[in-house]
Amino acid sequence: MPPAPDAPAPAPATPLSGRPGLTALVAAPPLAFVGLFFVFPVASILIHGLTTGGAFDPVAMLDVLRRPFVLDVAWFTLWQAGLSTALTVLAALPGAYVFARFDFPGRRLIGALAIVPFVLPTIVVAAAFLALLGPRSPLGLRLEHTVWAILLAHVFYNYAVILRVVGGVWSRLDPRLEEQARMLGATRWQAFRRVALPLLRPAIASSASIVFLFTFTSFGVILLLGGPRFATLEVEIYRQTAQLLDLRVAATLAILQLIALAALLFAYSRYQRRLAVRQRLVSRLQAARPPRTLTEACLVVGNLLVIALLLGLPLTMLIERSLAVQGGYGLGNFAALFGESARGALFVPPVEAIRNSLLFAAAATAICLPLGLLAAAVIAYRRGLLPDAFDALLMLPLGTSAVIVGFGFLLALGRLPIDLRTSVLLIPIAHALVALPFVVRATVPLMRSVDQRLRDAAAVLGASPSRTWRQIDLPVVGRAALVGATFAFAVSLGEFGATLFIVRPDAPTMPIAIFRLLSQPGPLAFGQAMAMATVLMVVTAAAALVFDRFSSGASSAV
Amino acid sequence: MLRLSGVEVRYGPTVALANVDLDVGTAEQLAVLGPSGSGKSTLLRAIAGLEPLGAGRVEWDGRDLSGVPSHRREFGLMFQDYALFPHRDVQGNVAFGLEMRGADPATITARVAEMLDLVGLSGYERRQVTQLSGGEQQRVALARALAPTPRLLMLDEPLGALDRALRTSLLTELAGLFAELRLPIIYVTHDQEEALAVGDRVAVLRAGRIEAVLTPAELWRSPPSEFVARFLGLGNIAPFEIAGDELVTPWGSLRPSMAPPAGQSRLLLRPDDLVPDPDGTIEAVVVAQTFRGDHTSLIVRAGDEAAPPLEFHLRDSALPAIGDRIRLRVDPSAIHFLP
Repeated sequence: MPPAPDAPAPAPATPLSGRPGLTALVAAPPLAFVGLFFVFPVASILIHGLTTGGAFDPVAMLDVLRRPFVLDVAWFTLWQAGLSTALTVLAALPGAYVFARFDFPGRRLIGALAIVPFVLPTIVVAAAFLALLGPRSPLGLRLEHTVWAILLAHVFYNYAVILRVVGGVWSRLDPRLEEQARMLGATRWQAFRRVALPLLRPAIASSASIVFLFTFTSFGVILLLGGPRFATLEVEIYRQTAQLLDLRVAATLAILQLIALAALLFAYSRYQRRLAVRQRLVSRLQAARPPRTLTEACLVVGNLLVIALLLGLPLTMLIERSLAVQGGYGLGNFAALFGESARGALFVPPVEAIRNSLLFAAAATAICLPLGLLAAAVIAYRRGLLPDAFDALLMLPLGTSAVIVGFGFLLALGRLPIDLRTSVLLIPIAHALVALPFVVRATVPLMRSVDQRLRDAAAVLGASPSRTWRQIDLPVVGRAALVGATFAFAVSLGEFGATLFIVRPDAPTMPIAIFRLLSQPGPLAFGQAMAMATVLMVVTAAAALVFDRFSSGASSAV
Repeated sequence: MLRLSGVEVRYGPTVALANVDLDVGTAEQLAVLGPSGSGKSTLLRAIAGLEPLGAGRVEWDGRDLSGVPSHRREFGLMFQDYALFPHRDVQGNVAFGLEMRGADPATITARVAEMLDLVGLSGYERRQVTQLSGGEQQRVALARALAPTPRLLMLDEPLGALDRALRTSLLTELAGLFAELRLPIIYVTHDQEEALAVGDRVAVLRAGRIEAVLTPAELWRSPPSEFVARFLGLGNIAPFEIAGDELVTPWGSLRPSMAPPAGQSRLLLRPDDLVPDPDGTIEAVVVAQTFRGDHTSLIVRAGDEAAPPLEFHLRDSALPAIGDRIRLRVDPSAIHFLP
C-alpha cells in the first residue's frame, strides 16, 4: 500500500481553537514560570561564564577550557556514558526479546517490577549499590570507587528503558519475518542480524539515545559511587561550586554541558525524524507464546536470572542493610531515624528530613500541577508552530539537567527583585521546574484522548462551549490532574541534583539526608542512610504504581 | 520425497495436529484443504521445522529430519501475507536466500533477474516492497521462495489476501508455473476450487486430522464423508431407510441402481444429478434461485417439514418461478452413499 500522504488532519474544534486570546492567557503562567526560573538562571550561567566584571570576556572562558582536567572530565563524561549505554543495550536486548516473544508464569508481574529501578530516585540507586558493593557489603564485594560500580548502577537504572521501548516494538514485529529468514537458510543469529535487528534499529537507537542522555548527565550515582577519582561534568560543576567555590570554572563547565546537551538533543531529533519513515512497517500481531524447546526455556530462565541478579540484588541488599543492626537484624535503624542523626550530619533528627520532603513535595505539587495542566491544555488543544515551540521550551529543563537548574538558581536568584534565596519556596519552585516536563508529558495524552465526537455531540445537543468543557473535558482533566500530581510529588521526593545546590543546611530533604549520612563514616550513619533510602524507595515505588494504574486506565477510557 | 508418519503438534493442552500420515511424491502437487483452524498452517510449520513435533516423524528421502533445523531443510515456505522484509527492496528480498547460501554477487544478480522474469516482474529490482500491490507482493514472495532452488515448495493460502478477480487469473498462472517447475509442492488453502484446480491429490484436514487424501476427481465424485462433501459445497445430504428395493428419504422415495453398501446411513445427491422430470419421484416447491453465469442454482423444498432443502442446477432450459411445483428425477447410478 502506498504511504498515506502526510496531510494534516482537519483541525478539530477543541476548547481552545479559534480563541487566541484565551490561549495566550492560558499559556502565560507556565511561560512566565519557565522564563523566570529556567531561562533567566541559564542566562545567568552564560553571563557568569562569558563576562568579567560586566564586560564580554570569552578569553577567560577559553583559559578555563584549556586546563587539562577539563578535558579529562569531558572525556570521562563521554566515555562512561557511551560504555554505560552499550552495556545497557547488551544486557537488556535479550530481555526485550524474551518479553516480546515468550509467555511464562509471572510475565506481567516481573515486567512491572523491572520498571521499579527506573523510577527510583538516583540517591536510592546509589545507596543500594553502596549496600551491594561498598565497604559494608554482606557479600564481600568491594567495587566502590571503581568505574565498574558506576557502570553497573547505570545498567541497573536504565535496563527498563531498553526493555520497554525495544520490547514494545519487538512484540509488534511479525515473528514470521524471522521464520521466513530461517526458511531461506538463515541461522537463528543471521535471522536476528539480517531481519530483526534492522527493523528494531529505530527503537534501539531512540532508547539508547535516552539512556545516553541520562548517563551523560548522571550525577548522584557518580558522586556517591565514583569517589574522588571520577567526575562527570555535572559532578565537577558541583565540586567547583560547593567545595572549591570557583564559580567561573563551574559556569564554564555548565556552558560546556549545555552545548553538549543541545548538540545531543539536536542530533536525536534529526535522527528520529529520519527513522520515523521506516517505523511504519511494524504491525500489531501474534501474542507471545510459551517457550517450547530447551533452548527457548534456557533463554527465558537466563534472562529472568539476569533481571533477578541485576535488578533485584541491589534493592534486596539495600533492604537487608537497612535491617542489619549490631549482632543481627531488627528495626533499630528505622527507630534511629526518630532520634538524633549520627555524628550530627544533619543538624536535625533524620525524621525532620522526611517531614521536610513531604512538605516540599506537597508545595512543589501545588505549584507544578496548575502550571502543568495549563501548559498541557495549550499543547493538547492547539496545533501549529507556536504551540510546538511552547512545548519544546517546556521540555528544556528535562533536556538540560537538575544540576544546571540548581547552579542557575544559585547564580540568578540574588538578581531578582525579591530575594528568594532564603524563602521556603525556593526548593518547591526548583522541584516544580524539574517536574514540569514530566507532568506535561503525562497529562497531554490524557487530554488528547477526549474523543472530538463527544464534544461535537454535546454541541449538537445544545450545550454551550463552557458547558461542553465541564461535561466532557473536565472529568478527563480530573484524571490528568491526579496523574500529574502523583508525578510531581514523586519527582520532588527524589530530586537530588538541584536540591543539593540550594538546600539550607538545617532543612535537608530525604535525598540530601541520605547523601550526608552516607558521607559520614561509622555503622550508625550508614544504617540510618539505608533505612531512609528504603523508606524513600517504598514511597516512590508506591507513587509509581499509582501513576501506572491511572495512566494505563486512561488510554482505554476514551 | 517427503513422508510424514504419526505427526502430532500440541500447543499446550490443544492438539493442533494428531496422527498425520502423508506422502508427497517427487514432482507431486499436493493440495491441503480445510477450514480455518483445521491445522493447515501448523502442518506446513511442522514440515518446515518451525514447530517442534510432539510425536511422529518427518522424513525426506527416508532420512529423519528431527535433528535438521529449519534453515538446513532447504524447503521453501510462502506465508499467507508473504512476510516480505520491509527493510529490503525487491532485489534484497529475492536475494536473501542466495546470500544465506553464500552465493557470489554476480550469481545473485543473475538469479534474481531470472526469478523476477519467471514471475513476471522483470525490472522490479529496486522497487520498495511496501509500495507493491497485493498481487505483486505475492509474486515477489514466490520469487524469493524459489530463488535458492528449494527441494520442496510450501504455500500457505497464497491467494488468500487477494481479491476475487486477481485470484482467478493468478490461479491459472500458478498452475502453469507449478507444471513448469517439476518440484514437489504443498499448497494449503480453504478454498475447494483452488484445491481441486491445483492439486494432483487433495488432502482434506479436519480438526488436526487427515480426513481424506484423494485425487480431485475422486474427491468430487465420491467424497468419503459428510464433512468432506459439505466442505466441497455438496449439501444435498439426508439419512435414508431401506424399504424393499427403494430408499426412503425425507425428500421422498428413490430407487438406486445398486443396494447401499453396509454401514452407510446417509446419501448425497449432487446438484448436477437432479433433473426436472414430470415423472420424477421427488415433488418439490421452488423457494430460491441464484443466477451463476453458466447455470442457475435452484433451491427447492421437498418432502416433510424437517427435510433439508435441495439444490440443483439448470442450464439453458426454461426456469420455473419461485413457488412453482415441480418434479425431480434422480439418476439411479448417481446416488452417493456416506457413512
